[in-house]
Amino acid sequence: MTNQPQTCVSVRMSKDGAMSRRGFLRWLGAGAVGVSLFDRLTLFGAELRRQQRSCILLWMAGGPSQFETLDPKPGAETQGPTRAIDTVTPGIRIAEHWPRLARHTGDFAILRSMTSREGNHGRATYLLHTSYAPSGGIVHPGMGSIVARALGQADFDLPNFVSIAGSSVGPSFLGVQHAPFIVLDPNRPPDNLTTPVADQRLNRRLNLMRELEEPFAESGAANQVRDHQTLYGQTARFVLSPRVRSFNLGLEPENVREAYGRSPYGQGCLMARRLVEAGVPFVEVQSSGWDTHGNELPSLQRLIPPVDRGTAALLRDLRERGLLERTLVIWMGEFGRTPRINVNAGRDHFPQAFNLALAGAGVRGGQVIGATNQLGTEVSLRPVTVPDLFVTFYRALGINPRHENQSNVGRPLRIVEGGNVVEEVFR
Amino acid sequence: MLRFAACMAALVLVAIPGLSSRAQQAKTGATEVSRKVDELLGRTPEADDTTFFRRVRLDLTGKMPDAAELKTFLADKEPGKRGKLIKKLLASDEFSINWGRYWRDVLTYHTPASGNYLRWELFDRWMIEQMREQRSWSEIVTSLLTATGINDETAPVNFLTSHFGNPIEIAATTSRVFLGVQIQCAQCHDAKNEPWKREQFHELVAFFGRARIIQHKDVDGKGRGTPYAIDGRADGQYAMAALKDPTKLIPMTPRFLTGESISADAPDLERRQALAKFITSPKNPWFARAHVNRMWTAMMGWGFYPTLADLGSDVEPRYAEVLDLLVREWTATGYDMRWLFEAIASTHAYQGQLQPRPNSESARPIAVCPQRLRPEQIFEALVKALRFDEKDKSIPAPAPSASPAVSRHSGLRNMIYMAFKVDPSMPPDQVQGTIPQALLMMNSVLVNTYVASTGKTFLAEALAKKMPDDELIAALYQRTLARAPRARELAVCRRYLKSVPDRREAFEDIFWSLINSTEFLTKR
Repeated sequence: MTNQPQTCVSVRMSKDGAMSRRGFLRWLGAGAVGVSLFDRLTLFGAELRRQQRSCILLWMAGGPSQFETLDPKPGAETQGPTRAIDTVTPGIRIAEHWPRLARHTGDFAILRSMTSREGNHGRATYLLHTSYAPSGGIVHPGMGSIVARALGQADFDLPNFVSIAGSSVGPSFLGVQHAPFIVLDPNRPPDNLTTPVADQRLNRRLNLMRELEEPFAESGAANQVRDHQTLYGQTARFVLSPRVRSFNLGLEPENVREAYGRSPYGQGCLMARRLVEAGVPFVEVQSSGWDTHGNELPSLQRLIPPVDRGTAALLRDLRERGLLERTLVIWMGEFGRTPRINVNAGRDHFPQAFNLALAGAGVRGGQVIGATNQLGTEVSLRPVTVPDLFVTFYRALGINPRHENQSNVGRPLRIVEGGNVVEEVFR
Repeated sequence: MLRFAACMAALVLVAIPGLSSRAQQAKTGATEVSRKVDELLGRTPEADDTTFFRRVRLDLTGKMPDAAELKTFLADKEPGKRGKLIKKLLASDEFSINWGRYWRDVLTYHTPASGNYLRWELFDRWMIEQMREQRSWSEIVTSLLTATGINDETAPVNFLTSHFGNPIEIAATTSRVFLGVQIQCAQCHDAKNEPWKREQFHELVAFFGRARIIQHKDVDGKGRGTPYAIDGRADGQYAMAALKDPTKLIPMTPRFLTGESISADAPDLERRQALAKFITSPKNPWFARAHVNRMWTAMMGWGFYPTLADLGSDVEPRYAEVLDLLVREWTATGYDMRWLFEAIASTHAYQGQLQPRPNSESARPIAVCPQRLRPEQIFEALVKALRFDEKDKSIPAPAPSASPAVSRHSGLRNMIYMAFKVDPSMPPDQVQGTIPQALLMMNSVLVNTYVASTGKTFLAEALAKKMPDDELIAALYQRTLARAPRARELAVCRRYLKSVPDRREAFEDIFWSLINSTEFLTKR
């Protein structure tokens, strides 16, 4: 990883960017249309986009079965009826339900030796978003908020963290400005994004509101007013930004929309690509329904094709646009599923051994890391813990995982505690 | 027809047990206890009547005051008028609706259950009914824990079916909400920061070990879907997987955290009744503390404990002596819900001037801190300020379609509810605004239709009546913030009116700014 220079670039950028964007708002408010400033912003944006890393988290809510995804065990009594198929990478075989992804194994690394101890959805979802197990006293910020804060710019006019078709894990003590902007249905633009009054008048209203708030702030609500103003400032920049178009999938050619598949997940992946292209540092796209306790096979036969299609299209599109080298793509859920098929022909929660996939941002594709034993009951090679995984994510994104944030309980908290980078991912 | 009327009359008679019926037990008057709290906490400057009125109206009834009732209250010169107001609000139906909704959300917020598992409307009505009938907290909790039957007929059983009848999930919510204890962390391992052993959690789970969830596919009657029922299993034991070898299952005897247990042979209902008894027993150190801490937090904006589920940890509460006093006296009332509200609302701390939120766990505030309104309080405030009809179909009410699985409300109420939805058990300092909320307040058709100076709106009428500037400014402040403008605010508005050539437009902007302000969304 050689992305040290970007640090000084972004410092200069955010300082300059902050000034020019305030000017930009004022200038928009005046109703003028100047080209030079816009060009300047675009230029900086392009420079930044070349440098800046982003992350797309493809979240399989409920916990996808390793046997029916990337770690099939052909011939084992635990495998069930799903067969394995060859992929474009010699030696790598995945479950037969993923014919499209099988053509892209060269782009991603498969990690088959994940292991954790959290077998409850809520707790494991928290763990796989924060790197910490829930502990009652302190609420840890999610990875999306951490990345938004580390890589996002304070004055960026889109949200630095967008979560599509699900709510992700929030910013906790990092503050509202790092909260996910949630798009529940990627097939329609987010609600209330267009202002019913002229831009100039909206700015006038916002200024009036700010002035009227002062006495209330002084009466004991200074923090609340400050947070509220921060939120409104951020929201106004968003509404007035030309980049709002990134949320409009109607601007994509029909064949592109078709390539991703018309499912909410597929269109979510397409929106993620548009957002990353526009400079959003973190996008999560959710697919839900992976909690297959009963009648697993028919459920997966419905569930997988749109995810296979959307994920494969995303990888191809990112590569073709030159975005893959700076975008970390993570495909994972909160845990895996039991080797034993239960009486309802389903599999239950299994955090002891599960799998996931990583692509982009320096990740070497076409490889498998770690392994489970023949029945898939335990990790047999190169166990990877959740902290190991997260320091690996942050390495790929150029974020120091030992950075300490001041938490809300008065003690500093590292982004990740413990864990060692899974070096093979990058070699 | 006649028979119907007679039935109704009988129903009404039964449904209203007099306020005094529960007051027979030996209990200290709520205000007497408030005075003792005052002694322990010390004095703080008193909030003015207008501020107090908005605060107590929002807290007890979930609504903003009307201009007329505020005027009457301000004109009243009697010294005991605040106490009288508290009593009046506690006796109102709005109180029952407001707090019924609160508990509905506390108990169903986390579940991703679909409409078959959670009959939300029925549960909503039942929770409100419990408040109306002045049932004690122990009676309500007992009903929830011991319910049996089909969930579209028996409302409280939804507490169990909405957790999919899963004993682990039910036990986790039971300990978190009714005991203020996060024992579910011990589900997988001995908790690190709390004194629980893994066995203790699973022994608690075992009380629900013979409750069985049954799907009903062939119910009579249209539109019932496939409801779920909770029924007893004849035998079987809940078992915990051994830590070293998860295939080895260890049967668990139902045993409560205080050590009380019931035979492993006990049938389902007996188990759950025993648990309800252990939980609501005055000997259980957590039941009353959890509730007092929760209600104090909801009213004051800060808690004795930093969160609502820290009671099992080694965290020392703030003002332990105040907490102990309230717990002792409230327990003596037989867990009378209204009594506790009256005791808290009558303290100087509650009636004091607003204080900034404490920024650390060791800080010791002694007055109300700013707190964000709950979603339905925001909706009621919008109705009052904007004066719109909840059922107006001409205003689009887009709300997230994908989640949650159960549709909660409909129309505009649903739109606001979904946008501002938040777990009522979340500590007040962690509740934060979101961009979609700001977008809704800034740009939605609802807000912009009703702040307009045209159409059937308040502003259009006021302008048609040629209301003078200052009077109209004051009226807008009253509608939105339930107070008169401060001199400084009046000056800002006047200056704004001068700077914008179109007077109608200027007033729309003022109205919009007040609706979009922090204060509009804040209890102060």
